[in-house]
Amino acid sequence: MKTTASDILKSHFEKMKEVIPEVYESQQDETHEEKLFGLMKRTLTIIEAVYFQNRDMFTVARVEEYGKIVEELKALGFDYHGNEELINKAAAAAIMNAKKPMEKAKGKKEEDQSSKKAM
Amino acid sequence: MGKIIKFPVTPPEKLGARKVRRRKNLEAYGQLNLFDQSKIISFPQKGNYFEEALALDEQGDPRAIEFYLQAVDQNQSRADAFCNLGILMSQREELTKAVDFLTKCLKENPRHFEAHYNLANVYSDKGSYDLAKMHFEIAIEIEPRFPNSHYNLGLVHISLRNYKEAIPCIDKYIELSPEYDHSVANELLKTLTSIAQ
Repeated sequence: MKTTASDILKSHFEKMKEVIPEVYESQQDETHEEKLFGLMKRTLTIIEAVYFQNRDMFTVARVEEYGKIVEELKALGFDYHGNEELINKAAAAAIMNAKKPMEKAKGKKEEDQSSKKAM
Repeated sequence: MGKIIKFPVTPPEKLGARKVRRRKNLEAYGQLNLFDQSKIISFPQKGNYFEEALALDEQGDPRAIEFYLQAVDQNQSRADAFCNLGILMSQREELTKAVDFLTKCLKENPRHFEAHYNLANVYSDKGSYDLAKMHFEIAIEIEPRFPNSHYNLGLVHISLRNYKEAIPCIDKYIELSPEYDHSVANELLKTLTSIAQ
């Protein structure tokens, strides 16, 4: 049976539930901001884990969103560099956003070709 | 004896037929200029599903899909209808369907320029840059003077980190495209040159 993303997330959160009391006990000296950053890092780690379990499930839009979150964290002064493979994919997707648009077919070519007969 | 009186007659400037000219300022002639912003639109021929679909498509009408499918059924510009269905699916972010329609177009006409170019765009949206590169290259083989294929191929090379290969593509785009479109491409070229060195 194929493991779905929700199965992976479910098992991850089950593990998290077990370790959360210890995690919070050891982090009582942390500021509210540091706690939030820690939470954010763990969330991003889950995203990375899901990506490595099933790369095909990650659309370009999702990868871009991941890239944006990492960029915003950096801009806020947090030290999180993200997963290199995902960051590279996000950068490539951002470059391709600047591409020129698609071209509609206007229905002339087929007529042109049919009118060209061998003599 | 009678006296001949000469009437002052102004001879016409030019004899013969006179062309009707469009009056530039209709309101100066006492007529309200109600149609200044009007656009001449061509009505599709009745029964030509492809033309009807194209007209609806240009207006952003979702019924265009039905008409393109009818055009396919009626054997009217089948390849072009498949191609434009591919674009519509891509706009709906249904990329797998978009690839399906565009490949159907190529089955009808393997040298369909727009299908190769659009398929390359869809593959780059999917993050399949190697396939995108291949279809942009085929599009360039078919229509080498279409500037956007060169530009998008350049971007694919950048995404694949082939910066040196991207430079001639952007150069070619600048050569083929109108001047007002050069500023972004020139900046890109400068950055690429500095990275590639």
